[in-house]
Amino acid sequence: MALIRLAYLMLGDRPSAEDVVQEAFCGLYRRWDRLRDAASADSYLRSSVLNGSRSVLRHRSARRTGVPDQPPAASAEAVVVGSEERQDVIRAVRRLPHRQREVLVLRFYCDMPDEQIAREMGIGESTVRSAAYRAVEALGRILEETS
Amino acid sequence: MTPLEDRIRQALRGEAGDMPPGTAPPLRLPARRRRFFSLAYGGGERQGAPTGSRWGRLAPAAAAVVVVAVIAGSLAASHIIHASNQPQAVAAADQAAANETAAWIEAQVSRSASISCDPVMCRVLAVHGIPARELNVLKSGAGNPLGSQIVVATTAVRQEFGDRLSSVYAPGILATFGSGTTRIDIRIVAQDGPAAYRSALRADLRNRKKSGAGLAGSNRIGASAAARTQLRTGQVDARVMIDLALLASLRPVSVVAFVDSGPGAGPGVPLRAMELAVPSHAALRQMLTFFGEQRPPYRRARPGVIRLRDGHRVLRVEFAAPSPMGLFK
Repeated sequence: MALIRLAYLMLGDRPSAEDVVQEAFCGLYRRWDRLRDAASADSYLRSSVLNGSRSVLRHRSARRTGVPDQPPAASAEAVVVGSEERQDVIRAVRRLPHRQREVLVLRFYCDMPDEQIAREMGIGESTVRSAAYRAVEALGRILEETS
Repeated sequence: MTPLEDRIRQALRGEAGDMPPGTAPPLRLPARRRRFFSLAYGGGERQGAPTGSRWGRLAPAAAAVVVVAVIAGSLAASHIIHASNQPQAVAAADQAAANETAAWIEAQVSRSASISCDPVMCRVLAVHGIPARELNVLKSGAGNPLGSQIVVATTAVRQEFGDRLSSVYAPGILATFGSGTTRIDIRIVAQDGPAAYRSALRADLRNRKKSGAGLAGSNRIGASAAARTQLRTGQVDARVMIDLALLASLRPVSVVAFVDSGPGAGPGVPLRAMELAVPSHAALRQMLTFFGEQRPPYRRARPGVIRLRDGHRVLRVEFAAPSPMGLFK
């Protein structure tokens, strides 16, 4: 479920998230004999989910159609606990460029240190830091505009 | 952490936490594995999954247009050079057969198999994603298919090699597409010569019959009368039988059918796929784990849970072509 949640945060809809996670498991299954050890399966799956999510996002950008990047309608419970503000933040996160969105999800949802984020994304640590900085700044601007 | 960063963290966790703890997603074939020749083609989509854009739905058609364009271009060039008067209807049939052949090779032939083909067919295969390094282009008056595992026998290749194609280079037929002058055979190359190939085939058949008879009599393997006959008469690929025997040592197995998707395959070509009954989700998981642990060449080529016409789910275990010989030595 943690992987589906990760893909869901990246993609914004559950069916796509499930597809990406299932692809990741199929990939793991096909490459099982090439894994260094079973413990590396978690890391492999997370990377596969992130790669798959990037791929879906790229296709969506290219098509400019498909599943709208909007959070689903809030549940009654979510409304009761005053999640309007949260939905604003989520909507703003989904307006960010893919890389910035991914950095935010890995840093604030997965609690990964910058070094690990850099490894997962295949970019430098300084790029992670600057992407995170720009993302937070852009989020602040978007939230200000929409408030 | 700044208040805004804290807000982001809370929002992301809240959003993820709102997802109901539903069941695991149903098993289905990954989208890119639903090939034209897969029985699962068009089935098993998850309810509510996005259907994709108009362009996404048109992608296969667009790919087909590219293939047709490549073939048409090549044929046009060939016509100009050779001043051929081939009627347009024949060219269209050529295109259809070449397209079908390439799709079958892409879906069924081992990625490590090298393929000999004429320049036009090689271009079509490349469009279908076959790596250029695996293609041996047969140019007129130069080279032969030896050194490849498979040769795509188009009219041009048949004209180039004549009777030597079936008598010397490639005696076995894996599949056939089209008919008459537009027929394309996918042939197995006898790398050590036709006599050695036939001798190896006979020895392999003997061993398959012997092992198949043992499996057909096993009380841990349930199978229809037809499937038992296929086992006893050595029609089943050695990799399929070895995996079946290993799986049966772990749990009772019920074989629904042994199948092959090579249209027009020669009589000696073994059946490379088996369909196993799936009595429960737990059994499916156990079988998937088992097949996942196999090493090449026993590792199955393509995973797939498919639904038969009668509504039953089966696990299809399929190995790539061509079948290796001598595994039972």
